[in-house]
Amino acid sequence: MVSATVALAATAVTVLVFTGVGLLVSRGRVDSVESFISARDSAGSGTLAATVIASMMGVWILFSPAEAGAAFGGLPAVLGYAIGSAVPLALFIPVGARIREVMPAGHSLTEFAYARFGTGMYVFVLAVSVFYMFVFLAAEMTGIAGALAFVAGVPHWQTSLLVGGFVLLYTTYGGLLASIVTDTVQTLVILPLLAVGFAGALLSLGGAGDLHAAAVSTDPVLLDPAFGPGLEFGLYVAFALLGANMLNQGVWQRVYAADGERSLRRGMGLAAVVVVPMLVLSGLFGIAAAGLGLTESGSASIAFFLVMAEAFPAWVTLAVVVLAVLLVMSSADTMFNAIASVVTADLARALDDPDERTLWLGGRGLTVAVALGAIFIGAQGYSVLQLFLTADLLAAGVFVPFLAGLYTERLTGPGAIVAGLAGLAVGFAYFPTLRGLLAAIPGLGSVLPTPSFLVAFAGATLVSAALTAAATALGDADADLETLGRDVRSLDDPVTDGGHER
Amino acid sequence: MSLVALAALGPTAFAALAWGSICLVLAVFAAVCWLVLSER
Repeated sequence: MVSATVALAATAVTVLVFTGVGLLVSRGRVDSVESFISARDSAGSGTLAATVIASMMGVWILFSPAEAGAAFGGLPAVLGYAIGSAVPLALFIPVGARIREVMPAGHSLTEFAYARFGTGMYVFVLAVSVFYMFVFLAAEMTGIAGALAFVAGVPHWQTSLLVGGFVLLYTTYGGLLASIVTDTVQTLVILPLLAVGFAGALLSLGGAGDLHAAAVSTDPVLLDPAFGPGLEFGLYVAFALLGANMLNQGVWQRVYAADGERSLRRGMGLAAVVVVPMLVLSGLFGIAAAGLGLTESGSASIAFFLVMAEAFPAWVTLAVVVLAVLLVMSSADTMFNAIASVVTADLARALDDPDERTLWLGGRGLTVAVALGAIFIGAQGYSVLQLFLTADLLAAGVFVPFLAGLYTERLTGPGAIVAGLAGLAVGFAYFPTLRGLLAAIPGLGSVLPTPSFLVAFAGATLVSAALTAAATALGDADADLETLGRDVRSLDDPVTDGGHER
Repeated sequence: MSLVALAALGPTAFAALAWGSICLVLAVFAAVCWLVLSER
């Protein structure tokens, strides 16, 4: 084990370098609220791919896929995780193009929800989206604090404060621009580090043949792609990731950041392609850990780190620390700015043409508030898995009616809300995580069905989709998608003539 | 990669999955590098 001081020093150098990059590139270029929360039409396909990869691939990729491989069903669980992470990004190619077409001057998904469906659906989407993003952020801070505590015994609060504090510094100053530029550099370090790290571990542990033999002799189902529990896990994770990512404001911001449809297609496509092998590699670490008997004491959640410790000398741990810090920084800056941008964009409407200074204070103040909350939670070392699953379920119930609004003019706000609520009712009825809470409600416990994550997530998605289709067939909203974007305007030049786009 | 083909994941398929993933990550890294540099 490396000492806490050395690990903290490596962390400090990493965060200082990228904080410097973030501050330098945004110096003098972020002069309005618009440029703080939006980077419209500025990213080519390479930059877009890099920033989406960095934003979506947080430190969780060192924990969850490996744990899935070691404890939740081996190979099919890993493949489900990998493919389930790629599908939303691939889906953002057509959906993103549609978002840009319907609302070309937009900033956030909640702006669209309000303009298309009205207040009720807006509140619904706002609550689910912000809850999901904050839980993601809190999980990232908890993950990095836990990683450094494991590899070097660093107290949680020190890691959380160091990483969160510096990311806050450059994100508050440079906004989305700083996030995108640092993401780009971070991706160009993360990808080779992950590939070379796994190749080194593979060779150090005797090669793929030895790891295969170890896995087969320890538990043959680890490598059985048709293993039932693994398939079930892979499927429900795919449903969970789909809804959550479609309501991720960080991705919506990047859809607008693309400098054209071609960049959107290529950037999202490249990101979708690379997340599959990234998660497969992480998952294979979990299978390797289980095969080598490293997770017998119930430590599957840190399977990645157990394999690293087995394969490499202690000093290599520093490279893992750098990798983990880069992963968490690139996701945390995205979430800081994404959450702040949702509310800032809405403040412009809610406050009825506020001045620039008010919006500035709102945007930066919210970034600070979100960051402090995440740093505090990260310092506690809580398990946020249950919150994560709950946030994913909420998103699974809401995203279909929400996105349907991009394509149909018939679906009404109440129709979308009913479809979402019905999906959630089915989802929560089968949801194992909150079963105790629901069963405590008088009269409800005896009628609840057998809990199942797969039925909960698939049920929430499919029931809301079916009711969205029915509500669309029966609805008469007569929303004009051609003119929807007129209600959304740039934030650097508040209008006083009724809010029409310039 | 179909489930049928993977149903008997042997050492060769396992090695192909592991090394193929490593190569794919490096290939995307090269593609992103090239695209980012060509934007400048």
